[in-house]
Amino acid sequence: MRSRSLRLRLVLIFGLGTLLLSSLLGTLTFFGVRDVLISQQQKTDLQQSYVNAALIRNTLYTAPLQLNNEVNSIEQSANSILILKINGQWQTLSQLVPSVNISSAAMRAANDGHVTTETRMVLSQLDYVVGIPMPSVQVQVFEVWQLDGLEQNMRILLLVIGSAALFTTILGASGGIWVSRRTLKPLVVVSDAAARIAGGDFETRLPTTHAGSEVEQLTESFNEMVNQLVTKLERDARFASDVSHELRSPLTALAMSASILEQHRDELAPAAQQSLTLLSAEILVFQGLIEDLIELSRSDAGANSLSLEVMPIAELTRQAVRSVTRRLGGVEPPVEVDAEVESVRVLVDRRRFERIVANLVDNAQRYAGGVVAVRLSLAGTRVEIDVDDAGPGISASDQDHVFERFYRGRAAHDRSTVRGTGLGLALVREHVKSLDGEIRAVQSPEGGARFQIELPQVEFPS
Amino acid sequence: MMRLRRLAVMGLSALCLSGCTLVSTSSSPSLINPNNVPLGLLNPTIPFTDYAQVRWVTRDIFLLDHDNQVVPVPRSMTAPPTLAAVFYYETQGPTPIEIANGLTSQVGTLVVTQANIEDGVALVYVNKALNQLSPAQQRLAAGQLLYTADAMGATRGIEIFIDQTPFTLALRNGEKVQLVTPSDLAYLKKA
Repeated sequence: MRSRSLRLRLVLIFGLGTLLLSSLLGTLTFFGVRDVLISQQQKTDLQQSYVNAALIRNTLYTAPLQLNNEVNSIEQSANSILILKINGQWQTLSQLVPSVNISSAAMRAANDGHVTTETRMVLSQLDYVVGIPMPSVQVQVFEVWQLDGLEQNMRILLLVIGSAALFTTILGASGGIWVSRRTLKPLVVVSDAAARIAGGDFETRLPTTHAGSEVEQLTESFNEMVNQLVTKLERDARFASDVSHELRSPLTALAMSASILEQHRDELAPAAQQSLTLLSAEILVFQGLIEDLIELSRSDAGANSLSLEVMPIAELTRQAVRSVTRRLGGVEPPVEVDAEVESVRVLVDRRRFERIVANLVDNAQRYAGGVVAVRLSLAGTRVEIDVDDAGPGISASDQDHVFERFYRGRAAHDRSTVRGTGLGLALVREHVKSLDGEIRAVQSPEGGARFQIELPQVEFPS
Repeated sequence: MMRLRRLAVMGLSALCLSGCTLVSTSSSPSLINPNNVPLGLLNPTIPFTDYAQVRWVTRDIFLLDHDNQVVPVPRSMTAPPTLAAVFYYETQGPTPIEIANGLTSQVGTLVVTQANIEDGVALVYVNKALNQLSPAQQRLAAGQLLYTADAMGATRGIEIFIDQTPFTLALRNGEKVQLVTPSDLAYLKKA
């Protein structure tokens, strides 16, 4: 989400930047070209008006009766409209009313003997009007040039510049997409690697690239960080394992001593008998804790060997539940198996599977009033084993944490008299993972907690 | 980011606004420096002379109103005005505004090839188009020419020639004349 947002921002910056630059460049170009075109057009028209006025003057001087022919000829060749003010009277061959296109200011200026020019918009018609007084023939010539062609050229120019700006913007945005992809690619790789490491894959390292010194430095730092992390985890695991092993021998001696004392319980005073009971219970808990710690340490170190075999999951579950119930005591919960699961086989380590079932049943007995039912069903290509207990369920806030080591949820706190090692469910998760399975704690529809295990079924070629 | 967006909006607005006034109009006319006006257009006299000027005078030509009565209409022409020049404007007919006011002409098809005044009589040479007109139209055309010539000093009347041949006008009373006098066509002029 973060990388997408960053990519979007990069693309937007590129696109808007290009749009801004192309708009600015286009605007400057447009105004520049427009001024040049208008200036050139008006300059040409003005020069032509001078020539036409001179022709009219010569005609009036040499053959005044040919004036209309001359005006006609000029209008046809120059594509303009000539309006003459002769002896105070307006004269034109055009059907247009003369005063419409000539401002009173231009008329006054011509009366004062000034050559004038003006650009006027009359009835959506853009005109360039040149007024030339000629004292030698007592005539004022106003020539009206229509600038529609120029206006049309301006529109085409604007369209071309607008299209170019749009094209450039699209090009810029495409460049932004390309650059953002290239720039963010290392971040995506780092993000994926971090996700894999968070998932427990400590073998993950970033590949060395030559994408630039910054990326190389990031890669080296990241790999070094993972190395340090792995080293620390291994050291911690080794420490826990060493401590557990060191404690096991004296604990065994303690347990043997307690056992001897148990044999002579009747000879002890009542207070000593009570102390012996307490001591024996604590030694049992301590032994369980040490055993769990050693097993977890082996699992962390990858030292636990797997003895995998293909077995029918339904029968295996029934046997495990029966065996565990016999060992732990209590009522044997029903094992409900969907018909389609009866023939399903899974690749499991029998000892670990029994340990999974034992820990879940033990956990239910300690904190949730025992197991209500064990249900087996198919979920796609996987087998789902649901272990439902009779407790109040696990709160939503606890569901994500119950598999953490030494995590004690609300139920454990409420039943302070019942003692566990705090490692039972953590071991369950490790064992399930080692079988390529998944486990989660959810709320059972019947009200209690449900531990949901998924294991892949073995596919036999048909 | 906000500043970038604001700049982009400003740029687009400028581009859009520029499309509204592609060619800007002028609020007042620009005056050209007289020194930059070529071809001696602002000179008081015709170039290469220090005296020649064209002066204008106003002379009347006569057109027909809706009652077929001749009425004087002023025309500007270069001085000195000749009879031929006046007849040229006569044959040009009424202007669009005059037409709108109901004025017409019967000499629009005529071409006056020559005209001069001798002893108060205007000698007018025209093309054969006059023969194409009906007698009544010929009297109206002759009336226009007569009173126009009269205003130019041909007070005794006019003689019309077609291809150097004298033209005989049939008057309203059946009489045929070559020299048409103002009294012959006095009924065409309002009192």
